[in-house]
Amino acid sequence: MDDDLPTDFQVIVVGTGMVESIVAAACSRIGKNVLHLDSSDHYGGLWASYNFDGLQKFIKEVNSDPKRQQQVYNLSEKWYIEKETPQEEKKEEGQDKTEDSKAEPPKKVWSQANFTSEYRKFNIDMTPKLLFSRGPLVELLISSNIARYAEFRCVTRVLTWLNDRLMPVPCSRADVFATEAVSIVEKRMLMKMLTSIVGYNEEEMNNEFKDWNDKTFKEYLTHKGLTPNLIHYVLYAIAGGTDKMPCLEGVKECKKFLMSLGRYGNTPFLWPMYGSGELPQCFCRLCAVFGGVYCLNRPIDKVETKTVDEGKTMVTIESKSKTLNCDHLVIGINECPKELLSPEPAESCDISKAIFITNGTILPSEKEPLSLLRFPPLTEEDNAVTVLEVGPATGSCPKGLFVVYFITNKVKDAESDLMPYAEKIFDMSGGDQTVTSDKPKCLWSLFYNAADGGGAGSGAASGADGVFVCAGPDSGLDFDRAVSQAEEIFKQICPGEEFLPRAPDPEEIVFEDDVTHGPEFRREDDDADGDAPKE
Amino acid sequence: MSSKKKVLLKVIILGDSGVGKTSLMNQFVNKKFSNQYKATIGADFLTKEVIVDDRIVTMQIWDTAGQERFQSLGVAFYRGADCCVLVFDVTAPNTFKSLESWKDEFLIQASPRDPENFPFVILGNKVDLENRAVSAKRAQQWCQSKNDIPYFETSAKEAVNVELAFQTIARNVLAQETDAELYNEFPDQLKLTANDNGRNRDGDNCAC
Repeated sequence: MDDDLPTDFQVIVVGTGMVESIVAAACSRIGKNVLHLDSSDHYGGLWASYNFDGLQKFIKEVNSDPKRQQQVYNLSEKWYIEKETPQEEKKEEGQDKTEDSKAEPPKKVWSQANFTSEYRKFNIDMTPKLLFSRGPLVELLISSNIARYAEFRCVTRVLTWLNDRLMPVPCSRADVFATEAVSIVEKRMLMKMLTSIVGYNEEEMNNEFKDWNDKTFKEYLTHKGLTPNLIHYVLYAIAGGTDKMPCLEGVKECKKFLMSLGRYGNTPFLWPMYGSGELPQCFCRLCAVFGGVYCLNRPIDKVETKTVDEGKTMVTIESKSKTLNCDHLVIGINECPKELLSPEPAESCDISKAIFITNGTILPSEKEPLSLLRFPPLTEEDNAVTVLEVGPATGSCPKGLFVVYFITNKVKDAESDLMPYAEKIFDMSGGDQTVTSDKPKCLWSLFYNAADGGGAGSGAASGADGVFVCAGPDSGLDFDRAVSQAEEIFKQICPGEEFLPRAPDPEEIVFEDDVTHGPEFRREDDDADGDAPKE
Repeated sequence: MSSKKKVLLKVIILGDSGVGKTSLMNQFVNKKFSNQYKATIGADFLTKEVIVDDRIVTMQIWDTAGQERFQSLGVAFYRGADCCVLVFDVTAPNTFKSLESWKDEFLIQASPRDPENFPFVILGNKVDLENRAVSAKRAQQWCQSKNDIPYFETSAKEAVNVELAFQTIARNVLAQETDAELYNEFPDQLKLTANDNGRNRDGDNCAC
């Protein structure tokens, strides 16, 4: 019952997005007394995954509430299939054979009613992102032991759009040598170039590239004598850039990609089972395990900061006519009362996103693929478009379907920015689903725009008066910005404390035999460095 | 190697705050009891190997970590559960009444493929206490009406029926899967561990 909710905490976190959840876990882990609230009935905020029913509710809510459209707007949903399946030969459970590209069983004809009845099998991300295998989030999950709450799948391939068709991008050394798309001479050239990029340390990089500061990555690659094909692979697919990408940024992106190769799979990327929306929940669980108190469905009405003795501030929050007090308030941008936000940033670059549900993969392969596709801009003013295609094995959708996410920086609006790209790889005409064509059919689509949470000024952590505002999702491919913002906020709240030290495995927890205190955490090796929860 | 595969079962324990979920888990795995858990702090999941008909079964038992206190368990908690233990306190009738909604909540969140036959077990805990308020008969009747869910009266404090209850849970899950292999909806998932290669059972992850 709500009445039992304690009122005094060291840290109150409002909103369960990625940044907020990491901060909550980090504070709780080192012994801070944490309350974590969310106004909605589920975790994740703008970073949530929804099943199909939850997504429908989300669309309705946003469309009917102008306040929520500050973060997400221009939602446009469209069906390409009938409401009900026509009565004719309706094949039940037509999945006895695995999806073999040759001997295909007749394709299931999907109706809107099928989506509704199987709604629980969908996990659709509002903020789909990948993890670099050696990126900061993977390292953090491992070092903090939070990885035990999550499972992943390797992205099986990286694709690009070249010469008007989809092409796999050779990522690993083996791939490079196996591919027929590049000649032997090109292979040598490519390997040499990639090897040298990986080899640079920060200092060498500054030397090698000191004359390239004001030039583009494309100019550099051209200067290195790479053929147009190779430039395409490196610039668009590996670095995820455009013709305008500055040289140093391109080199850094390439290096990040290459450094994450060879750890888990064929590509440098991981995708969380059931979607990105699982990850905030993993951090929340750790917070709870260390004593954090959780309360969903708990909107807040008012935030006030008071100066108590000696310049120390205290933050009070009104929530369901209860007053909650804390030393530090960490609040997600989507939960934040307007008066706490810094004035509107001058034209930050918003994000255009789209989600498609299709009846097949964009490029058939032997095993169910999990793909990252990077589109170079199709026109001068467009930005590069990132596409993620996830299938049933990720827990994202029922068998026979794929969920495909599109993300780009906004130029006009989501639909005009992304439709031309979707038409390249999907059959958007609706109609007979059993007809075999070279493109999968789009069965359902959703376009929307989102504010860029990573943009300058849009609620970056201030810490003034004990209040920290967490950014919303950015347009980046990975979670790196969220992780670094969370760490920054944590360091301000808990100066000098370790950020998410390894949590003990359950077997390492020593339970006191007697009843004088509750269970205590002890690391087997050493517990002198502030592991024990504070009083 | 024996032809019988090693089995890992994810067991989750649900029920109102204070019914003894953590204590039951701790009694079963560590053979310990403490009066001192106020809310669940530090309880995460515990694993224990049991042997059921010559098969080694690793039970991984997940505590709610206190997130049930204000109805704030997220869907991630329920993922991949093989069975569900519902606990009430025999001295607190309202915790018995909550069983229904916990069961419903589980079925909604976990969405098992065969909800009718999903293995639940009900534990009426704290039978060592004097002030009993829910009779064994009442609890049994309720369990019978719910497709004959097995019911045990336990005391985590005095280790009454705890071992038996968890053994039965393991046995019932296995019994449901006699013919088919233990069902794994999403094979070949990757766990991140400190060493550089995760568990790659499908073998196509070699990147040399």
